[in-house]
Amino acid sequence: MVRGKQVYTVVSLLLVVALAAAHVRIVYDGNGQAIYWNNPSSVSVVIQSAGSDNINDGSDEVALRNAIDAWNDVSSTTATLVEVQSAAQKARTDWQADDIHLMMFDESNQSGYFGPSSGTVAVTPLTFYITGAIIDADVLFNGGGYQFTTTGQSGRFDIQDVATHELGHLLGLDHSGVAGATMFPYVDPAVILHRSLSADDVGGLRHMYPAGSFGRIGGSLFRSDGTPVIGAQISVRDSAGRTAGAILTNSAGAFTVQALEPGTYSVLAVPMDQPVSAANLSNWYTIQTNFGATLMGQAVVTGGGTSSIGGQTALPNTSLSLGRSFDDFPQRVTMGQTTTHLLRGAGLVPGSTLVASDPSMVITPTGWNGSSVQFQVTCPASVSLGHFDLSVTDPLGNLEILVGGLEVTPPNPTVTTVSPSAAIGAGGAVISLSGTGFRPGCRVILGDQIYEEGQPGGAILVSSTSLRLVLAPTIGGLHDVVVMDRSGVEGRKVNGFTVQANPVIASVFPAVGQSFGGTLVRITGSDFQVGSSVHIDGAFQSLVSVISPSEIEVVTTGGVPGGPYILTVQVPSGEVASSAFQYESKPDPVLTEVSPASGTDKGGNTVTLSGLQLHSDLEVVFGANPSTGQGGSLAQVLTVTESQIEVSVPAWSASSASVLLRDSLTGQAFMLTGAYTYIASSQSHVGGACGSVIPTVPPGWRDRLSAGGWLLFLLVFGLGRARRGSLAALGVRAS
Amino acid sequence: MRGILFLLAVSLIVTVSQPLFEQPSAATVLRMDLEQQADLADLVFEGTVASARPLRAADGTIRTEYELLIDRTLWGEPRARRTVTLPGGALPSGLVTLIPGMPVLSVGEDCLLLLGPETTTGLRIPVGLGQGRLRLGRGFDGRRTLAQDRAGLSFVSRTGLRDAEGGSIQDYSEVISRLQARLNVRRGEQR
Repeated sequence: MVRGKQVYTVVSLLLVVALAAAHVRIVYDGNGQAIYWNNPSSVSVVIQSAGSDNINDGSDEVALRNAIDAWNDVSSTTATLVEVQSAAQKARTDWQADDIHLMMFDESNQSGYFGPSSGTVAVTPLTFYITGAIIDADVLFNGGGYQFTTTGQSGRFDIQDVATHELGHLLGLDHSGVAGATMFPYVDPAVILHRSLSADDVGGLRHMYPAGSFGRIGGSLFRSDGTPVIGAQISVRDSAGRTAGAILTNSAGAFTVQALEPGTYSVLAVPMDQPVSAANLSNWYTIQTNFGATLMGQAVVTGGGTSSIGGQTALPNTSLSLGRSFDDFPQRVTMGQTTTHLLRGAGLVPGSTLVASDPSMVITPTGWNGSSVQFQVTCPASVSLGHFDLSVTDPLGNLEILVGGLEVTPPNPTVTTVSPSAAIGAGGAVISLSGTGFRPGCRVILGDQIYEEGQPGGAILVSSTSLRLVLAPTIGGLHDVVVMDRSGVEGRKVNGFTVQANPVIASVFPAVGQSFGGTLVRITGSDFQVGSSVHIDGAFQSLVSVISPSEIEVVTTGGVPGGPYILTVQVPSGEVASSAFQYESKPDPVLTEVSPASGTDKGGNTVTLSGLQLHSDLEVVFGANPSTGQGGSLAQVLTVTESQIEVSVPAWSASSASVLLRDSLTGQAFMLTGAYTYIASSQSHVGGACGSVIPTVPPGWRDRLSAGGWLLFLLVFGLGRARRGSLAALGVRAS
Repeated sequence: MRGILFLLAVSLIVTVSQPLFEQPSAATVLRMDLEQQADLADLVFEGTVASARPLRAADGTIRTEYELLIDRTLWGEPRARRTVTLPGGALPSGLVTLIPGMPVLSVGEDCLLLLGPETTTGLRIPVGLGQGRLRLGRGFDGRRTLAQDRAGLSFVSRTGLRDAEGGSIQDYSEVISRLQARLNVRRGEQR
């Protein structure tokens, strides 16, 4: 037993050494195994088609796609997120399934992770074997608890910013101690700079899934008594003073900073105590912070080689600190501008000095307040982008370094004109944008389309003030035109472009409904838009739901028996599609239950349909198209009463089938979708057992109404109308 | 010599295996202070984890059922024992689900839990995920402490929210008195 423990100890120590030599990766605490994708070159992700309830112009999907691209734009790595575009996959909500990796807005706490008090904005559940091999990962946003935005609306969370961070976890990265990194553990609605990856994030991905040859810097850190410093954050800066990567020392105090481009680097060690601390990392890591920030020297890195700076002695611990978890990071420094900043900390007293790792930055402290320092940064107009460090030295000579806390970005681009400002949604139009600050690699976002400069089908950078693109097929409506720089900053012309819709109605089902309203009508066609309105005989229909660009559901408000009347669908941009609808004084049939709810695909068994307003003119069809009412197979009606119809089920293919009641004289109809399950004869063990219809997704108002809820709905609807009628008769106007 | 090696080995095992059931994680949550957590909690109690049973739920997800012996209940119906189910866990088959930021309790652990209401699927989510579990311990000076893990939590702040405490280890009696004060205010507001 003792021998076993000794063996375990040795194995554990080896694991500690091996892991700490790596980047900050997510580690399974059960055995210290870093988690990873076995096949990183094709990690599939699916953007769930419902998107966010807060966004109705498709820009939520674009933001998620931009987040995916941020990781895919990293070169020299085998990791690639492959977006699956299949409509069937995008419609799925079963994030629990291992065969789909969803990015989904959980609007109704389907996952159970977003209770009213969870305080959780987004999570990335990971399922893996204890070997570390990931088999499933999904990004879930708390759509029910929080508001999201793609336009910088105050108090809402930027979808792209949050998604980029969560995708880093999906790929296997833990939090970073670099304050400006996308994997920095603290985010804020006001910060959008996590949209773009820092050098540390890029290095982490390259190290986890390498392709190509990069340089490394190795060394060790000890205290003056010779004991190793474990879990010290080692950071390297390039010759421009930009943060190029970071790593933790292992149990022997050793480190190897990975994935470095050739060049000369300064190496420094800082205790990971603020703003990121051990509490932000996997509990597997041991983090020691009882030493002071230490400049360890310089190293020259060549491609593929390891440069060693040898063993270095850490400076003694100090109480000086710069940066707190509740400061917003990264703090933005804009090229060619002077910006004002405040950082919290300790020991920030008058007489101290503040210096940037990029000597071209002019740092001017304006207030040393002990627990904070205010300062201005004047950034030259032409410097390299990226993150830089701030060093503070107090009057006693103590040193503290905030790693990568400030990020240099260009000024926000501006979009002043878009010409032409409207086009048909089919695409093909050449669109010109003028403005300022357009840079290589920028993205133009228009509706649900992204045009990445320099990519096939992308935008063409004519000059820093002019961009051109060919419109791809685009969702209709009025759209902002956004130019997003690679750094994540953006310029936006609000409502700058109209994509004209061409709505067409292909079918209206049923095309006849009861005159007192309440008929659920499905309209199929194309180019329907969120916000579309429906009128029948000029009467506005208040209960309209745009299911997709090809389907609308409407519950009629009722009208005078007769017709056919003109039914119109009008999209928000004004275009109208027309069809016909008729009102009958006869009430619609209502189907509430099918029992038994399953049988073999051969049919022939007897099924009882329960409902209201049933009569002998009704045809019963199994398997009709749920949207159009077309197709299906006619059942043989055996007996009919006002509340029940007994039928002999027709044969149909093994599947979940709709059951349709259709009045052969008037055309009125009622359908229960998925009400009957045909089971392949070879698999059937049902034998006429009673079953019930279990929806696979949480029911919305349409689903609830489609079953027994119709009874209640019709009752309330009828009472409401009767009351209104009574009031009208009494000369009272309902408010 | 062998005795020293054995002691060294044992201490290393203890050090290394201590976080055996802690999970790395990665969720984006709001930073909350104790008072905000107290306002949102449906159940607040102090207890010892008696058992942990990982299982697969009907929807296919992995969760862990913890049985706790309750020392005191600060909010909610007082009971001597409670079963609390948290998402995530490690099945004996070797399959693990790690729910980002979700605390994973260790058998024998003494902790203070601030939990949300039970969901329709029987889960209770800690308030602020990892922020909703504070482990009881003792400092070097013998005083009781409460430690809050932030592993895997990406914090967000919203305008108007107070800053959360900076440190992860807090004085036990100070935390309890702050919690009780806030919960008393809540009781008063409910009357």
